[in-house]
Amino acid sequence: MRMYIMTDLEGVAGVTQWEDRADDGPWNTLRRARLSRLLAGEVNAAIDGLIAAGFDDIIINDGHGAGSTIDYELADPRALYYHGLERPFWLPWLDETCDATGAVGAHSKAGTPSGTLAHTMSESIRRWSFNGIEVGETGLQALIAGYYGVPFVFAAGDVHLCREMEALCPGCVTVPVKFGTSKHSALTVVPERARELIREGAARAGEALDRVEPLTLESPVLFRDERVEPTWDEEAEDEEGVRVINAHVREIEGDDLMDVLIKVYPQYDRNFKPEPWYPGVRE
Amino acid sequence: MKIYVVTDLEGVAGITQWDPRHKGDTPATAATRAKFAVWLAEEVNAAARGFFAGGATEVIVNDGHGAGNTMDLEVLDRRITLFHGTQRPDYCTGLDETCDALASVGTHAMGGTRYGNLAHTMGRGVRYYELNGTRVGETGYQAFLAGYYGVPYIFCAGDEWAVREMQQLCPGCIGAATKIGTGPLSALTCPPARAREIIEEGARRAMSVIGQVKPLKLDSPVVFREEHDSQLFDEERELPDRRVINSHTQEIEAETILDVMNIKYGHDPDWKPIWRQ
Repeated sequence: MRMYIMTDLEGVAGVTQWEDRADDGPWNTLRRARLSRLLAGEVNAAIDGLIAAGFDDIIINDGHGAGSTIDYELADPRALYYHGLERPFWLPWLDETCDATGAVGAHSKAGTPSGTLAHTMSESIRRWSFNGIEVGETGLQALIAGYYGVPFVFAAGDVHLCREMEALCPGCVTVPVKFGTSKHSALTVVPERARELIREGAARAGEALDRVEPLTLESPVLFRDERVEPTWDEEAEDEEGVRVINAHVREIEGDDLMDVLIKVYPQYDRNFKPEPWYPGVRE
Repeated sequence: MKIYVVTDLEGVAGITQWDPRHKGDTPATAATRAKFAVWLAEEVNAAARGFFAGGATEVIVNDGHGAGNTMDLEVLDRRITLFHGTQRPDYCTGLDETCDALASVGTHAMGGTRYGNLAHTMGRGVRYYELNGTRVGETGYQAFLAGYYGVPYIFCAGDEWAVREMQQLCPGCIGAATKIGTGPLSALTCPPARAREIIEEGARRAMSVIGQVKPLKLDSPVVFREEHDSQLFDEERELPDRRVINSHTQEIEAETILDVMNIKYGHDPDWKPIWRQ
């Protein structure tokens, strides 16, 4: 049974500040190393629980913006890890070969009141919706999984994110490890307790397989992209399928979710379909 | 049984970024470099354990990544002899007919490989290297050099794309694929702990293909061709042993691959290690 887990940093217990990747100084280097350990601890706990739940093929997407945030010295060797920068797609290997998907270290979507480090992709985005369904990063992950018929069954992170995913994917198992009280504050359990809770929750993720429906969209798909700052040129010639509503808002229409995503992220390769891969000795 | 191992950094599991050694000496780059040094050394240790278990009596490791001193020798298996440092007298010091096999650890794919993680050939601006018309990356080049001494290439640990490249070039060699690149800076990987198990197992099995895998051979004269992104070569200038094809491309023709290397890198052809004098 194959599980695809997306990870992020902002929803990890103990994190209330952005990661600073520009400061190369000694204190920040120590801090970043600690963040990597905190994330690895939660990911390992999830893997442990998922294996107990019967998942024997686990891919972890090291999804935080740095590209390689998990401390790989600590990484559970029973999973495979996707990491690095300039990726050909956001979620490679999340496709019809997966039985389920989930998230660890997840944060709530942009604009969530009291959500710790709430954002969607970057702080420039105010609101994203697909066919009227508002999503953050984790919601978009659930939509991509749904495109392949894969249900979203498990989320660990900020309580506000957990509520968001319960509403989008009823029946999924959620593990709140902190309660956001503002952008940069939270009531949190300590890392050790967070790991216990995540392990427990992940061990129940298998039960959710039967009750959670994949999150799907009717065709055509209409994406609404609202920005914090004036971003879109109202005078510009309309690009095929793209409509500028005003300087803050544009809409993109496509046959399906992938059509739309390729328009949002032209650097992605729609034809990138990685083969199933396992490490090992090759004769 | 003496096994010669060339190491590199870019094919080590857990690494998807370039060595930050040129990014300045900061606490952040220091932490990254120290971590990578241990990961590389532990993959080498795993390979050495496998080789010794498979019957090797001697393992010589060439610390081949550009820095010349990349692996953490404080954690290195005590049975290993290490060749390291910069301004080396020749390209693969100690690789000669007294070796029974060549292997590589931390191997990346050749420059231009689609989806190869950190794929390159020597410098980052090299479009390709060819030996008598066969495209080679760094490891392919080393396999041909070993072949000159009648030594077979038996084992490749690293990126799946490097493993495929070397298994195509040297049929019968064993691979240990610990990651699969999806682009220059990204890969699906198993973490270091598991990579070491796979490498140990692969190295042990590789010992049994000695005698089966044929050393790579080149007909004489050997023509080495290189093409670069930048305009490195002066079409007007006559140089001995070199043929400028265009400003991006030149050829070196010589009797053997060893002569080619000495011309290319300006090494002293008469230099011999003390144990061969």
